[in-house]
Amino acid sequence: MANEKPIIKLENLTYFYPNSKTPAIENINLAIYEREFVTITGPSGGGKSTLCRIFNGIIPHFYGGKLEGRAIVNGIDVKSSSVSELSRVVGLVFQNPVNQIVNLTVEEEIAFGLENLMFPSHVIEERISWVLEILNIKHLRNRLTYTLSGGELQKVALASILALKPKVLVLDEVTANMDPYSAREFLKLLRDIWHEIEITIILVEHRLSEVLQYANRLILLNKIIIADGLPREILKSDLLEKMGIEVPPVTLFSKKLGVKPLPLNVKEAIRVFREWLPRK
Amino acid sequence: MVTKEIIKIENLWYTYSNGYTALKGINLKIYRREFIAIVGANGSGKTTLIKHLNGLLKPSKGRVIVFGMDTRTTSVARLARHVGVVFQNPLNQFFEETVEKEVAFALKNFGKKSDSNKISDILKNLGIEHLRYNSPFEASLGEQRRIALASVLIYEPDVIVLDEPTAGLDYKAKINLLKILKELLAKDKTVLVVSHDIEFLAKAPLTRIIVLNSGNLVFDGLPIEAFYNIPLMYSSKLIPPQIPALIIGLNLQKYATPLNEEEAYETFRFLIKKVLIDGHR
Repeated sequence: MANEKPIIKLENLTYFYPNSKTPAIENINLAIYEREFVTITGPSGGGKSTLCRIFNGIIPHFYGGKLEGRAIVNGIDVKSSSVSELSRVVGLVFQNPVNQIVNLTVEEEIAFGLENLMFPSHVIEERISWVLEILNIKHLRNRLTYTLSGGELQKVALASILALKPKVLVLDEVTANMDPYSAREFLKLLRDIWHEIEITIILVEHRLSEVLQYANRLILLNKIIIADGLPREILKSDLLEKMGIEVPPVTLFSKKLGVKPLPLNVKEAIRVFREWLPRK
Repeated sequence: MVTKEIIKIENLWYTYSNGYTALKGINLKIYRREFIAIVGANGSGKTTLIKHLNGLLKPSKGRVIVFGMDTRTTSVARLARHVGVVFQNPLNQFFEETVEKEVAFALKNFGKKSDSNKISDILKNLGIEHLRYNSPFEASLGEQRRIALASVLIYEPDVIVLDEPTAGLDYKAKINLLKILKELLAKDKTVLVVSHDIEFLAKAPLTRIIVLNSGNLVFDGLPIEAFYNIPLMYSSKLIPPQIPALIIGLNLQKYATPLNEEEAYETFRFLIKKVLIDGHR
């Protein structure tokens, strides 16, 4: 992956919200490559959402403020580009799907973005069928959006973004309002999509228990990048605990006991402990 | 110690005006000094249930008795003196221009004198003293939740009900919340928490867990019984806490039933010894 060109490249990036004297993120250097599945975590107020907003240009174009350094997305400089140009490359899904959904039916909702980008109607039809199929929500096609559950709404929000076939999918705490079961289903769905289509996924999450098993890279952000690497390597350190990030209980427990290799979820822990227990 | 029954829910049914039946014959008794978690998937009826405790909703059938008062014939204001509810979205309950006024409002509302020292203490305890003269609308979500909690704690209701109190809180804030809840219990308060945050609940000194599934009460018992009952957890669309899942996966639950990593660590030496003696694998 390292010899490929990055799809996102941030160089000495610092951003101040309007009227703010302290930067929301500071001197960020980061390259994200095509087909990566990156999880970004960090404490509240650590700049996670700010970073997401820069990826598709709503910072600085809608928010204003002061953006220093360079942000290059798919070869385009964010500062001299526009949100509409960037949104063809980067699809952003937010925490609260209600704020994102504007149409009466699921079909209309998915068509909306495509229509805005002036796709011909046969392509729109194709994309709608395709996205309903890969997200396994064909049964929702004619449903009224206001009758959907939170988990279903979030899938529809995701569908309307995926229908635009962005190269990069950015999800900002999308499972925050879901119950754990729905959150797990949603994250599994994301993993399936990542396997099925050519897409780079950037997932902002603080529920690490569920996501660590999918990510091939974990970034810990607290205004600056504190750590960037393989999830297991970062969990071996105490950085997450120090930042007040919730570490999966089985991982924490295994660390205390010095169990190796460090398990990241219950399944791994059972396997590792079975080996480890009789020897002690 | 005789614990007093303070809330009694009898055959409670509730149907919304759109015809959706959210609660189907709930029976439940709550005693003083209990720390109860109400869990269940989205749409299982948790929030509908707690809205009956201060009379915001009235039963379609059955009845709810709160400190001897039937909620069908008692005003919300009267019930709220005993049962303070902190809802998930704090913005819906704010209307004052400063945090101090917001918190003082409850005192005024219940005919009590505004007490500057008391407000200071509560804000300090919740770590939001620096916001005292700021607008509650400008605070972060985590701070807004604490402001909402402060405006309930200030008038000292007997029962404190919190709807998804850990949503949007980071780990440090969750641990602080747990500390605050423990202090309330030490002051003889009764605490009810509606939460999806199973790992948070696995750390809390709960006396009981109530599991709702599609408007039915499907479990009422000890945390250990609920968290070590994997079929119950999955059939109620819940994910069991990791430590019980690990212990069950290793088939060690007959030796110890820890709920969180601290308990697991404490019992582990004992567990290892047992495993060696029994030749357990």
